[in-house]
Amino acid sequence: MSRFKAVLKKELVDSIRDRRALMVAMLPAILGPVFMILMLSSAAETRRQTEDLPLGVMGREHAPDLMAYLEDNGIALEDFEGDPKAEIQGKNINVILSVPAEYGEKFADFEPVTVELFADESLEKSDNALRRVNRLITTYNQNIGRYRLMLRGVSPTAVTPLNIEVRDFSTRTSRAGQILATLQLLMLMAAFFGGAGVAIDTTAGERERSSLEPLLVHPVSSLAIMGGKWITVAVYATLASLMAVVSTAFTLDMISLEALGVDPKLTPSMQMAIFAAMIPMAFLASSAQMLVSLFAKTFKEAQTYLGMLTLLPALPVMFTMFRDVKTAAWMYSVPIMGQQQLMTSVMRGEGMPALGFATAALVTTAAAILLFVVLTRLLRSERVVYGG
Amino acid sequence: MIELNGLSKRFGEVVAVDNLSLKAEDGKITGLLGPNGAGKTTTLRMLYGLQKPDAGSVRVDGVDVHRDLVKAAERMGIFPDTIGLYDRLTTREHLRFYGEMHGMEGQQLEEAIQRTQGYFAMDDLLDRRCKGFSHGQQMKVALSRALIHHPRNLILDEPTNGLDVMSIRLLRDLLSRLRDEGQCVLFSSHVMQEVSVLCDHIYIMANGKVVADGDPSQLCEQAGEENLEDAFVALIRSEVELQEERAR
Repeated sequence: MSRFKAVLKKELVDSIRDRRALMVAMLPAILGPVFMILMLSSAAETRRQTEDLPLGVMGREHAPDLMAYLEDNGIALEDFEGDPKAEIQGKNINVILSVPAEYGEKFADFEPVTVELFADESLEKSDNALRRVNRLITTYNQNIGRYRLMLRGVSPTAVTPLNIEVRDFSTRTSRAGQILATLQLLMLMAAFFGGAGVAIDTTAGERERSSLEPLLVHPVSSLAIMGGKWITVAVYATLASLMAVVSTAFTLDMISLEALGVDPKLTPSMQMAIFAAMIPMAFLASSAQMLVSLFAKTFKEAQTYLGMLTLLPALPVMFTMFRDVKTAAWMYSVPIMGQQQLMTSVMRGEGMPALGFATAALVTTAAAILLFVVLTRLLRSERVVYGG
Repeated sequence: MIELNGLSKRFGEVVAVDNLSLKAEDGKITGLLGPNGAGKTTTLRMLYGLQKPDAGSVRVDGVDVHRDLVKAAERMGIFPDTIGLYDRLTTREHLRFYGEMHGMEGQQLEEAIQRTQGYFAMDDLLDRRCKGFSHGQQMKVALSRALIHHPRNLILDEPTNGLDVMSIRLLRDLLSRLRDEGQCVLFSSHVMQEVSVLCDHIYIMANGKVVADGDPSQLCEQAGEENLEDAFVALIRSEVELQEERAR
């Protein structure tokens, strides 16, 4: 036990003094969620803009019914006077509608009225705005046409042989699910980022700088050595997980994603729950990374392998994100996927499912310990000590 | 006391060590002398338990190394062929850590650190981190690591490599002192002068085998040569020639 403590102390001191590696380990955990949420919120910003599309109108008073229809459909009307061409090409406004003074009179007489739309199709924003307004006016046009037919006793279905219905699956809830999944992915990956550097340093690194052989000639069990190393790596993985959770919660507090149809907030108790779910996974990530590094021939090779291992959490996240699967009991018994399901429950405000939590913790811890036992068995093998 | 009995080790087709037996007694300095590639390092690695012999046994003070590694390791101080220090730890932290690996603690450990650093006059190195140490300075730390627990048996693989003249003298004096205190010292080298000056008993190795052993004068006699260097060349020649013939 005292030897285990000595190994642990040495590994912790050694890794804390490696400031650069420490930064590399902790920065993604802290900054990843910040950047991701900033990106999402800027997407929310552009969305809000398209929802309140400004439209310059000349002669607004001539067509009150049309104006009301446009306003109902998310168009912000602005009275406009001046030169449409200059204003549009100067990008002050994207699209302008001109209603002639005789609109009311002609409309009442069932005569066609010409309204003008000014835009510049070579400008992307102007073109988009034009299409949107055009579409609205066309629909309005059709609606009026149908009323008039009905007034004359003709069924409006006679002029609409086809009905088109667009079903957009990017509903608010599924988009919300994608955003939650992205945040989960960042938190899950932090557990891998956090310990990777130290995992390599204490295994492949220890061999590469030839300090493994002198260590192993001491009267100390493989269990004490590997135990000290494993706990050190897991401390960093756990710390990075905690930072990612706190950073995610903090950023969500600062920045609202409401325009995206989802506004997750992580209360302190939710943060605790997510962190608690992640701790066994941090230990599993650590022993898996150490095992892979122990077999790598060099430090560099280990880095390459661990880079791939870090992408592992993306698998269950993508699986649930794109296939829109419902949580099933078996998912809790798959490490990483289980933790992700637990996060989903917590973030949706459904609370922590006790049985799911217990299953995930148990299976993940068992897997972590299993890999640790393998590590301990391998430590003194010639292949590990002398490479090969 | 160290006893190797019929040790053999092969790596694929290559026979690194071939039915090797030797005995290093307490109160004596025993040298393992051989050209590069003779199998010295592999022999020592099997002695301190990190490589498994295909055949044969290793006993240290009667403890079978490959049966009870931990118990045997307590009785050995090892200086392997690689130094392997931690750049970010100080000399004192190294010594403390390895002392703790031997189960020492508290006052006993601090006294051991003081005693050990005194062997090589390392006052100025004690609280410096090892990054940037010269080769000689690193060797001193690594030698201290082997001596921290005052081992009954000291095993050194090419200990004088890269040491300056002053340090080599320090090392020689230290080994002589340990021998006089009754300890068992076994070291390997390919440098004739060191072995001839220091050793009470010499094993000459070539191609994984002991080709001759005895004190320096016995070896000269055996080879029919005036000095040890000529004796060494004469003794390994037949073995090397045999090997070359086989290769052809």
